[in-house]
Amino acid sequence: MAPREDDKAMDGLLRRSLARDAAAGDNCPKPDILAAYSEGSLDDEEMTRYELHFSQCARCREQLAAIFRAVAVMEKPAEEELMEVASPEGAPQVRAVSSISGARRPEKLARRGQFDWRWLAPVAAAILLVVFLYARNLFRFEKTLTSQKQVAMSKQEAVPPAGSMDEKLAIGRTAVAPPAQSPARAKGAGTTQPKAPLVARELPRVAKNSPSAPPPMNDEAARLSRQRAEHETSNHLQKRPEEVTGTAIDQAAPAEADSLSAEKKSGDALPVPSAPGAAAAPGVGTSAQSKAKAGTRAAGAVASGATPKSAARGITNSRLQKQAAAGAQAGADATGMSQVLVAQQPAWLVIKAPDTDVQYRVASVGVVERTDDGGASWRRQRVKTSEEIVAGAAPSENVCWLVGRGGVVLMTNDGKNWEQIPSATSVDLVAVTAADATSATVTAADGRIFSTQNGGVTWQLMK
Amino acid sequence: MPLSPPQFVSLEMAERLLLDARAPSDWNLTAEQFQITLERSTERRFSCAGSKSRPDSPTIEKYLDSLHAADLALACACSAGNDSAWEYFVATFRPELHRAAWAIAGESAGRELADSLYGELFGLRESEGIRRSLFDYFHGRSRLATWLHAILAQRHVDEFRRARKMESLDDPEDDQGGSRAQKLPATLAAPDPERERYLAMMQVAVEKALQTLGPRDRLRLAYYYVEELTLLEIGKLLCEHEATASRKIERARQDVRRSVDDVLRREKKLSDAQVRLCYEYAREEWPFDLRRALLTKD
Repeated sequence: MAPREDDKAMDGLLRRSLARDAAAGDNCPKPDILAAYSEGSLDDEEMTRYELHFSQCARCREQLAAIFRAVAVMEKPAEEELMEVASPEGAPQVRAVSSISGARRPEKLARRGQFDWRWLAPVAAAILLVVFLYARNLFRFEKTLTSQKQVAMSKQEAVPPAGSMDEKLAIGRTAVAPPAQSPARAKGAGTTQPKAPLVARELPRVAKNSPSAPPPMNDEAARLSRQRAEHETSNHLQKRPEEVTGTAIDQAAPAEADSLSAEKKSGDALPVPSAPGAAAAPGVGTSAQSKAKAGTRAAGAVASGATPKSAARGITNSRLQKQAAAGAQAGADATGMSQVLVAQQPAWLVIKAPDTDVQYRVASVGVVERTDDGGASWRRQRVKTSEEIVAGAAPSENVCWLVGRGGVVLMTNDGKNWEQIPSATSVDLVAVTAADATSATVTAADGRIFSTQNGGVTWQLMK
Repeated sequence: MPLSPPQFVSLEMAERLLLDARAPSDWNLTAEQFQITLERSTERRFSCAGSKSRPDSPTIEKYLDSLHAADLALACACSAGNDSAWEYFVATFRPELHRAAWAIAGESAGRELADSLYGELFGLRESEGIRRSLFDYFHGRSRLATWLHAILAQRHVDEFRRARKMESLDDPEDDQGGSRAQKLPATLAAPDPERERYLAMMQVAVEKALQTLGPRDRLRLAYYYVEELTLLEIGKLLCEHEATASRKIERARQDVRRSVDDVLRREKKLSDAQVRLCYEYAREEWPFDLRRALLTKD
């Protein structure tokens, strides 16, 4: 027979045997004992004695069960069995029903419907809510505190007066003392000192995250930026007939002198300065003028030919020539500086491939990243070099040249794997232009230009 | 009823307890009357204990302090026939009395039960020319309400035991004829001649096993199987947690089962097959599904 059936058999046997307990008759305790027993007010000796009787007396057990049912019904509306009478004065105030010996009191309470734990639920919920709100406020406070600290730290940096270009921080992140007018102006106008723009701190991030977004700059920095942009633009061209070196730029200076002398001589041909901003991209153009203009950003193109001018025009031209010469010189300086500035740019050197969303980014030493979606996501690529990369050129999406300190030259022709190209020099390389995976031109920090047509197997000194 | 001189309770004690009871003055309860009530209670307590020696004063004082003095004063005043006390009793306890009677005996029977109790409480009965009230039997060891519940329970159970026919609980020897024939499964073509012997052996074995149980274990099993109380109710009755009651009942069942198997195998020398037959016959003879019984009750 299955165990379950055995249990049923045992249940039936037990029930029958226990129900057959003979009533003890005269030995059955009176109702006051039964009542005291049900309340737990009997002492230990009585309890043991009567329990022995109850265990053998069905009649007493039935009575006790009936008492229990009655008590259970009574206990439903109220736990406390306080007998009070709401009546006029003189009515008795009967003592609460707890006047039993202390030894029995816990049993009595346990017997009397137990402790209702349900009331703890809303209390626990309230406690949890308070703890949650406190923790959230604490977190917000700490967050606010942190942001305030950041603001305070950023305030320590220089804050140029409002309204001037100096207000915007230059690239390079050197602290600039606020101009003297600022405090006075602030005092006189009753306005608070202008807040330190967060541009200074944001600039590197902006540069990192949005390589294409130019940060605000002062005039010189803007000019240098334009030069750099033009330099980068030149990388997009398939072919660049000529390279421009600093030597070509230096040729602008003699032109200036010639223009000055021509000014004194009437009828002499005066060089025609090019309009500001009309600097040609490096490598673009075939004339000597183009050569002269190579590398410049701002106005300052060098005049190569003489044209008949009036004295006024000549003066103007000379002035312009001076300006052009100065600009050319500045451009020449800027050319070198642009390369240097490239180096001084934030670590995020970005090289864009033409007509695609492919970009290469030099994240840090030995780390180059590539994006195929215009910068939304980047994949890291390893390059075997410990030198700092300062310039790059990407003539196509899968071809990219990188140059840097110690004459290092790196190139990839599949967009993924990089190899170090034997360099022409150990001098720091500051610029590179490339037409494809085999043709490239690098510029050293000392001004020399080297070119290769066989992917770096051999280099020719251009200048 | 002429009372013997008080042996246990002094008048001072009675006055103190009467003061604690705060019985209203219109109950006209005197210290002497209260002393008599307290004496009766104390005598019953220590006489019933079987002790031959008089308890010492601290013990008596401790006992007196454990009494429900207020309820005892009310009972004493009602027993004395005080109208104010009786009105107070009716106003306070009548609703509760009816509810308890309803819980014990049902709605109609409970009302009748409660109404019959009023007469005895008021003291309509006379004995030897002295008005007797049921309140005289209240000794203050419990609350007056619980005592009233016990009175109702006793009357109901006695009435029920007199009225009901104990068919399902009859001894197998007393009912060997028709009822057992009715219980026999129809599939049995011929009853096993050993059946009676097996059933008798099972009964003896179970009763033997029950004798080995402690009083509380037996009480738990009785509440569980006979009174069909739930584990929660049993726990409340025995002042223990429901889980404790459950655990101990299960352990008691297993002890009984082991004892029965031991008796059948060792003493009666039955084989495993014969033991299985014993259980099968017992299940057929006294079918009882405890689970169904508890579900039906709920």
